[in-house]
Amino acid sequence: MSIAASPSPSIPRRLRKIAGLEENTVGYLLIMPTLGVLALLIFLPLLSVVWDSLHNKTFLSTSYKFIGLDNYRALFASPGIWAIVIRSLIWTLFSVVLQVNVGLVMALFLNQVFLGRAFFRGLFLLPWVIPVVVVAVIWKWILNDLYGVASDVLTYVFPPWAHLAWFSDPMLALPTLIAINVWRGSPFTMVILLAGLQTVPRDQLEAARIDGANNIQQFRHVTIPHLRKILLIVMLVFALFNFDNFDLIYLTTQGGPLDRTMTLPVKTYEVAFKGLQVGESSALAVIMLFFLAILSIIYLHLVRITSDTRT
Amino acid sequence: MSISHCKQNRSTALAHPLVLALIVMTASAFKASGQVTIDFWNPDTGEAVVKVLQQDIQRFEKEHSGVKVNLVNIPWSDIFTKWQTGIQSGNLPDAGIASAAFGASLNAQGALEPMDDVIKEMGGESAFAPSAKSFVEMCKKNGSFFDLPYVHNCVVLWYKKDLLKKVGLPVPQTWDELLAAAKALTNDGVYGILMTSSKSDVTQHTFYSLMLSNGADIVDRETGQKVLFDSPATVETLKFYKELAQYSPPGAGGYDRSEAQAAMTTGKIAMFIYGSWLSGALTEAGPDVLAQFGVAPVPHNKGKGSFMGNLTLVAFKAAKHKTEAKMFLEYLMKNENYVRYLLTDPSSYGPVTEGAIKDPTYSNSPQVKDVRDVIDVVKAQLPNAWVYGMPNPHAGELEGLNVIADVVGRVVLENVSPDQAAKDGAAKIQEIITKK
Repeated sequence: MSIAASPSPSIPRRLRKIAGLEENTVGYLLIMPTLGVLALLIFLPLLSVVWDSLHNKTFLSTSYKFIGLDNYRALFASPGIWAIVIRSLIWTLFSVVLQVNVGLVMALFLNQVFLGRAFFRGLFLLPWVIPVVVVAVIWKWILNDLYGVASDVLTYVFPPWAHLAWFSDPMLALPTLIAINVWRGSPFTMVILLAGLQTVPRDQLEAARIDGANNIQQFRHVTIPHLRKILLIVMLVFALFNFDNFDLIYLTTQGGPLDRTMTLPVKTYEVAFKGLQVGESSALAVIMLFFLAILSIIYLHLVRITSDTRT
Repeated sequence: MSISHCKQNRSTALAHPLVLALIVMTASAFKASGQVTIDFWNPDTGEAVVKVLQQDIQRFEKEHSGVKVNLVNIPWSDIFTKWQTGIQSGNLPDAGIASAAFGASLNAQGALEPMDDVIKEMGGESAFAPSAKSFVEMCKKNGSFFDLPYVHNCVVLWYKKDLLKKVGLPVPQTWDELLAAAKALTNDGVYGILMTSSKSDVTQHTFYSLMLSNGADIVDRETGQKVLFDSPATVETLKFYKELAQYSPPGAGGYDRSEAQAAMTTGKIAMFIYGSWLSGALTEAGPDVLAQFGVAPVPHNKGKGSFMGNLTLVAFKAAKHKTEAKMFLEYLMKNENYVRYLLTDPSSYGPVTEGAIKDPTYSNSPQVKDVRDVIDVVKAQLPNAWVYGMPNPHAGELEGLNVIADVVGRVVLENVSPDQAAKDGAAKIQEIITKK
């Protein structure tokens, strides 16, 4: 027990209590503005969404009534909802796994010493800094079957693929979008993992090498154990990012063809702003929130474990 | 507390009544001067249109001292939500630009002011051109106008003149001729016709136009409550659409509006059933691109018609200054102002009044002469043109949710039988229009 934490026997208990209370009060007062902002910007809208999900509210009528869990019952009874949930999970899983793996390969490459390394670091980061609307336009243009660059190149390289309908073939649309998402997201995982790689102790790698470990063994037994926590956190943060992704999907396919790229955020938007059903879309948002909350709890738990281990 | 603080607070305290008095006096002065400001929401945010509206407002304010118009430009993507939140919060503008479908929805909620008095000032219903007949009907309920018809256009058949000439076929007028032409024109990297099946308005405009040309419709035109979508005529249209789609580029299933328009400028597409507004994209693509295309009415089978695009003018019941708002709408419809608006894009903005059609400033203008053939075909088709889902007040949602495009997609991309897809589509439409 530290000295500061031990109660001084010379101060009466009553005074100590007041002093403690004052200390707490100051603390509470100091966090009040932040709590206020959080309440206004996060908690109130969140409560409002939960509240709306229990009403048959639409944008078409000023009157609405409490209907309990009917919106949820209707959603879970609709045939398409489970497909959308599963698709959202597939989208998230493949995006995260590929973004982290591609990012790691890029980071390993850029962790080597070679001429022009700084240039490649900038170049590899480009897809991440390009606004998503530009990403969507670029890829829709590249992959267009009629006038796209990919079509022209594939005519010579691999003719059977020259006129594939990348965005409109029900089998191809989701893999195409995942590939674009990986292209866009990998540079960011690369930056984080590159920072992690630079903290791998050189002496441990050196020791492993002296013990006869080859490059793969060094990577497996020294680098990966060192990166494990960073990798886990990156995967969880990117799982949150990707599960929540709306813009890229909406700008390229709007959830089509035939809902084959429809994920929970796109469906929520569609029901709210095209179908004008506030209650139903709020219920969808709450379902999304449920998945995001699970991921967030795991993330926070991991962060705590990591910081506990460090201390 | 320091002395300076005390002084400062005292002076601030003294200043408060003065400031308040000043505010009250200024407000009173404004009221006494009879200054009225009307809010006008405009979703048609193209640069040329906004410029013309701003000029109209300047002239209107000069001619009507004491009335100011506050032009608020809100894109189409946001306007419906803004109206709805406006209805719920009581924060609506005085007037604005809408469409027949959105107008029907707003009217069903009791948000719109009748426009009969404005139309009376314009010279009554006879002021409208015969070509605007179906549009005028759409803007009425129980004999009273809830919308003021503003401009309209419709879907036509676009064809590449040289390609059609090369195969020696006439411009298709019937479905059989259209299918034959699509087949004959598909070769050497050229596709006979562009048939999208994406979840977009392009698919809906093309398919709905073919539905009308086969005598099918989505709901009945008397009440708008009876769903007709699963009729044999719709099923037949779906089969025909699928047949035509085999002469379309493989990726067309995913083309949205911009991609479809871009595809037309490549020279690889021979025909496209699409809106007259395509001329704008073709003109932008290059000086001679528009000249390569011809236009014709949508080929017919058992009926006639095509999708109608439109804009209307509305005044809101909750308006603070209804009289001034209606004065401004009347002003926009005055020939000289109206013609200026029409000339910003003559192939998209078809006139609804006989006065504008006959006005030499309009008919002899170079802008109109450039797209005369498009305007003539549109004018000939307009009496049979219609907006999908009308007169049901949920027509806007049917459009927004891409219900029809989904049905087309299932048939073309997923090989669902047209009968089944039409039945499912009808059930979905029924569900939407019965939702409160």
